[in-house]
Formats: sequence, C-alpha cells, structure tokens
Amino acid sequence: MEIIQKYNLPKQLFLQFPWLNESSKVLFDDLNISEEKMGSISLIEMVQFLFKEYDELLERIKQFFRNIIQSKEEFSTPTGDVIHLAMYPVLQIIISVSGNRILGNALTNTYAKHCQLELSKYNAKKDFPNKILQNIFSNLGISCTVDEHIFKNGIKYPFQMDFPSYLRVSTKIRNDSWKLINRYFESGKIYLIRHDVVLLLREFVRQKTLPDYRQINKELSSQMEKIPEITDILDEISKMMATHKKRFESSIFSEGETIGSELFPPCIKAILYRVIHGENLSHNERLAIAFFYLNTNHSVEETVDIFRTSPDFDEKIARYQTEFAAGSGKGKKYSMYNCVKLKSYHICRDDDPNFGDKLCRDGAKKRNGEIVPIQNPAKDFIFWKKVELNRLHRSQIVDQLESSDESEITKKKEEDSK
Amino acid sequence: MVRHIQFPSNKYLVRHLITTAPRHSYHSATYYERPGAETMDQKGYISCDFVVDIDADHIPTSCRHNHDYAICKACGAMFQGEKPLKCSECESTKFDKISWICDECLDVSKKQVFNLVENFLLKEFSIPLEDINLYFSGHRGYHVHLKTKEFLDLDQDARREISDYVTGEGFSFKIWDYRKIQNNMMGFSIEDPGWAGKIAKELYNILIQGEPRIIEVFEKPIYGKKLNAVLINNLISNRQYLINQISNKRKIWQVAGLSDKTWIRIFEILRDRIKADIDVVVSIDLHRLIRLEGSLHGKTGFKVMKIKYEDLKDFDPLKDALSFPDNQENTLDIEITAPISPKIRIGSTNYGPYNKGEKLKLPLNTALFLLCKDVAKLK
Ligand code: SF4
Ligand SMILES: [Zn+2]
Ligand SMILES: [Zn+2]
Repeated sequence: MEIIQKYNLPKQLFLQFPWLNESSKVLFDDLNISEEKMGSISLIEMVQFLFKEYDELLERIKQFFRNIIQSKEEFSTPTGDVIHLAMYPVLQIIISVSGNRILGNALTNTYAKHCQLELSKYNAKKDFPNKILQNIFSNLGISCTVDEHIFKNGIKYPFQMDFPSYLRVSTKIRNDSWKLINRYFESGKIYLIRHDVVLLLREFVRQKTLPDYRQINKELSSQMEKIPEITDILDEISKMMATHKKRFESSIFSEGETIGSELFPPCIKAILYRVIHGENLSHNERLAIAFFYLNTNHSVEETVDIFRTSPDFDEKIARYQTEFAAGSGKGKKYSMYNCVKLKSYHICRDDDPNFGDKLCRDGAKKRNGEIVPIQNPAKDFIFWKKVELNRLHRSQIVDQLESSDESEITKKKEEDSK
Repeated sequence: MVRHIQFPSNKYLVRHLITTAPRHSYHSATYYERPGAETMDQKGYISCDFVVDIDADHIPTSCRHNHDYAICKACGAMFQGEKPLKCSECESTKFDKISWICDECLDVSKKQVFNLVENFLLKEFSIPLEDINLYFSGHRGYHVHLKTKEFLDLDQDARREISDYVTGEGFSFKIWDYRKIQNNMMGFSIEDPGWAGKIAKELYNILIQGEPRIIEVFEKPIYGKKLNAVLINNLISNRQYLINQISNKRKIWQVAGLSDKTWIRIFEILRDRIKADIDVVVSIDLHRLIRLEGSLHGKTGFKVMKIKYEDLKDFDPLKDALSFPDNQENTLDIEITAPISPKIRIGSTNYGPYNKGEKLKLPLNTALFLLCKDVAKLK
C-alpha cells in the first residue's frame, strides 16, 4: 500500500474519501496543478477544467443522480480513482445550484454510508490497524488516540476521544446510547470501541459533506448554468425527479390537517422540515413525530405518509412501527414524549432561529400573570398556542376597532372644521 | 433595560457606569464581531463562555420556609414560606414576595460549587484548576466560567450534553446493564466509571451509615416522592447483604420485595443527591447575560466578585462581599416599609427582624441591603 508520508495515510484512502482534508491535493497532483494555481482560478473555470480533463466525469455524475433519485444511496461507479475525487466538488456545486435539499441529504447519506462500508471491509481484511482510523480523525481535526491495552468490564476499548471532539459529532446522532452520561467517561476522555468510532466517523462525514447552499449566489448559479455539461445534468435531474413525484413533491404542511401546522411546536416543525427534505431520522425522532401525530387526531395512514420522503422509507416497516405506536392490536396507545425527554434527546428546538418559539422558551403566561412552562408538545403547547393565537386575534380586532374609531373622529373633525 | 451597548475600552465602561449608575449591570458571555448591533444576526456570533450558574433560588432549601414571605397584593395578608395558591383572607392570587438569604442557603450553593468542581469538572472533565473562573453572584449563588478554547467552541447540543451529565439527566438503566437476569437484579459496580459507579458508591455510603441515615435519605428526598416505609424497611433489613455485595464488587442486588420500579426510584433519589444542582438553562444559552464582575447586585448591594477556588471554603458572602468597610459609625437612617423585614447577619452582627414602620439608624452595608431588598426606604 502506498503511504502518503506527510499524512501517514495510504494514498488509496484519499482516492476513496474525497471529504478528507487533503484529498483535493491528491487531485491537484494528478492534474499537475499547484495549489496556488488552483486557489487562483474561479469555480466556473475549475468545473470546466475538470470536465475537460476527465471525459468520464459527466457520465459518472449522471449515474450518481440516477441512483439517489431512485433512493439508491450507493455508488455504482468506481470509488477509488481520481475521477471519484473530481466528482465530489462538482456534485456539491450542482446540488447547491439546484438548491434541492432532498438531493443534498441523499448525497451526504451516500458518502456517509460508503465510508462505513469501506472501513468495515478493511476491518474484515484485518489489514487496517486502529492507528489508521486515528490518523483519519486527526486529518479531519478531531483528536482521537489509540491505546490497545484498555479494557473495561472485559471489553477492549482501544479508542479515546476528548469530550469536546466527541460531543461535536455524537450529539447529532440523537440517541440515548450516545449521551455522555451513558458512556465510559473518565479524565475528560470517552472510551470507545472500533464500531463506535466508525459510526462517529460516518456521522462526521454526513455533516462534512453537506452542501453549502449559501456558497452559490444568483450570479454564480446563472454562470454555472452556461456550462453545457451542467445544463445537461440539471435537465436530466429534473426529468428523473418528475418520474418520482411522490418523493420530491410531498408537502405535509399544506395537506388537510386535523390541527393546523401553525399550532405545531418547534421540535415537531423541525423534524417535519428535515423529513420533507429527505433526511433520515433517528429512532427517537421517528417515534416523537409518530406519537405527536397519533396524539393529535391523525390517522395511521397520515402518520405513515410523513415518512414517505425519507430515503430509507420502507412502507411495511413504517406501517408496522406506526401501528405499534398507535397501540393497534392489544398494545396501549403511547402518549407523546414530554419536553424534558425531548430536550435530553436534543430534539427540542425552542431556541432555533427558524422554528423556535417564545412560548417554549419563556413559558405561557396565565391570566393572573403566573408563568407556566411548556411540558408537552402535544398537549399544553397546542393549548397555549391556541390561547396565544386567540389573544392575538382579539387584539387585532381591537386594533382595527380603534383605528376605525380614529378615522371616524378625524372625519368628524374635518366635517366640523368645514 | 438598556441593551446592546459596546464600549471601546474599560475607561468608557467605567465612565458610563458612573454617569448612569444602573441598579443591575450585566455583560454578555458571548463574543461577537459587532457587540453593539441591535439583533443577534447582525452581531455576528464568534463564541461563548461556558457558564454554570448555581443559585440557592432553584435548589430546594428548608430555610426558605422560615425567611421567605408572600404578601397579598389585595389585602396585605402575610404568609410565611412558599406563596400560597390564593390568599386565605380574600382569595386573591397576586402576591408580593419577600425572598431572603441566610447562612443555610448560602451554604447550600457553596456546597454545590464544591460538588461541581471536585466531582465533575476536575475529576471527570479533567479541567485544570487554573481554567476554572469562579465568581460570587452578589446574591445567593455562584457563577463558574470556563473560557478555554474547547469550551468556547461548543455548540448548544454539546452544552446540553455536559449539563445533562452534571445533573444526571438521561441516564439509561438499560444501557448500563441494570436489569433482571433470571430473577436476579443486576445493579452497578463501584468500579464502573461515570454515573453507574457514582450510584453504587452513594448507595454504599448511605448503607454503611446505618438505619437512621437510610430513613432520612429515602423519607425526605431532595426532589420528588419519598419511598414508602415498607420499602425502606426492606432496604434496612437487607442492609448487610447489600453492603457485602457492593464492597465485593458483585453486581447482583437481589432484595425480596424491591421491584425494578422501586430500584429505579431509589436510583433517582440517589441521583438527586449526587448531581451538581446547576441551572441548566444558563449553561446551554448561547446569548446569556451575566452580572458584571465588580458591580453591585441590585437586590443586596453586595459585590459581584471573583474568588480563588482555594479561598471558597472560607469565603463568607455576608462579610467578604460587602461593598463598604464594616464600620459601625458610618450609618444611614431608614424606615421599614414592608410588613416584615426578616433577620439578617451582616458582618458579624445580626439585625432584625424588623416590623413595618420601625425607624432605624443602621450601618451602611445593612441599610443598603434592606433598601435593595425593597423592604425599607431612606428617611
Ligand atoms: S419546549 Fe417542548 S414543545 Fe417546545 S420545542 Fe421544546 S420539546 Fe418541543
Ligand atoms: Zn388577600
Ligand atoms: Zn436561607
């Protein structure tokens, strides 16, 4: 295996994983371009250049989109060569130009899954020491050390990660078992087994490969659309998406609802937003949304529909889980998670810039001035939201009355002065 | 409240404070590119101190029943302790509150600071002592600021995780192997790291202190429902067995009559004794305002001051945080305006309780305290 000495990692890894920090340098080497030169050319020039250099690039990119639009989140093109590297920035740009978040999330899922799959292959072949995982992390700026002699309760925990690094990634997995309190945590370090570390890396890749939708402004995007290959790809994407309407056009917010979405709490809005944009949900998020729907007079059917836009949607499983949550058969219907639970799962979004709500942050104000905190998204949040909307409605009516009074008075005054 | 002010240097801040003499002064714990901008978006977030707030206000203390009062706004009836749902004289639901401080509640928050620093920050998070900045809040609590790079960069989710860890929130019995195996109840080992070990150690410590201690702990838990007497007796009669199991690092804690539900309640009671009782909301807020060091707290007239951790043990807020020299000659004439002004120690002298209408000549620090507490006026 050829090792790139400077980074202490096999060259093969850089070819497979374009999200590594120095993978682009491997690409530049192949193109015989210096880094300074690369830094000085524009995005447009770079894209044109890549299409010119690599004939196969266009077809590979089309294939990539064919896959993800059909919910196949895997590469069916080679993943260990420079074209694979060249593909990465172009995919990012195309998705940013399209502004389509479903595609963006499918892209991150694809790279994340690919990373996990490849690493487990190496592991099976046993030719991939833990040290290399450590080097991958350090390439990504995450400190993770390896000590092969650490055992806890008879199990080997070869990896140690300091808590800030760990929390950066683990909190995004939103699952009990990743909570710091449920980990071997000592002297500022979290002790991890290899499988944990691979899952953390997978999550990190998901975050790192998320397209930056703001990077592309209107002007840049119209210039991009002048590159023939890009237009070609965008055309094909929209044709393919048209044949998968259900996945790309579903909008839960506008369908006939039992309770209006203006009454939905921030946590639920945020999950719906993500699921609509094709993100996979964690187990807890899925349950939270299902409980919420079922506890606000939605049918099982309506609840299953929420998950239809998930890339990993499987009708049978979704239906089974929803029916289980609804207590079909002999089970009892489960009540909604309360806010304390949701907060501990990092699902609460009371402070979110897009979805946050003052009601959640400051509590509801009773008539006598007493403040009561919101405790349950499906119960008191909806109740207080209704109260709030009613109050608002009433005060608007009062405003209208007052202003019409005012205009009456001015009219009278004018008449008098005549 | 005047917000969003930015000062080019300390000199300007001091000048502003002198000319406006605000009753309360705060600064943001967040670093912004443009701190003077009106909205959060415009400010440009850079990073934020990790701030821990420990305040007797949100920790249940028994002294509260002695020194806090609620006064009916409608009829003036006075109630000692917690505010009642409604006034027993006139049914009104609106009250003015007199909330006081005493050595007991000041001590409770001090103990929690020790708990936080010793058992969590130094030991488990491995934070060097010199990185722990400790302040007396000027009232009944303390602030701990962590300003090193690794804390500054934490996002809100990560801050919540740390707060959850410190408060024992989200502990999963399932993940920690607490379960029934063939009728045997599996507990935790004192050698387990983190919370599982903490719970085992706490239980052990209580058991070896004997029966009265066991009763005290489970009859009067800090939070939530007590354990019923039958169950406590079960625990007592199996005391020796459990002590042996735990000290021999055996995880089987099989006690007839204690169901898994009961065990979980026992663990919760233990958790509430172990946790550092911090105000979680403060720690996860990325735009928090914090009292300005060196300013006076508007509800006490005490100094908001930095304290060296090694001085905390002997720190006496009612003496060391006074703003003026403890001089009995330097006095102020005041009149009590509230129905009651509970007892307070300032320096080494006790003052009060006083009743409405009493006219007093009191040393400056004491008079200032009563004025700030809004129970007196200048004469
Ligand atoms: S406070 Fe409750 S309802 Fe509001 S966002 Fe958080 S979890 Fe949801
Ligand atoms: Zn009354
Ligand atoms: Zn007290």
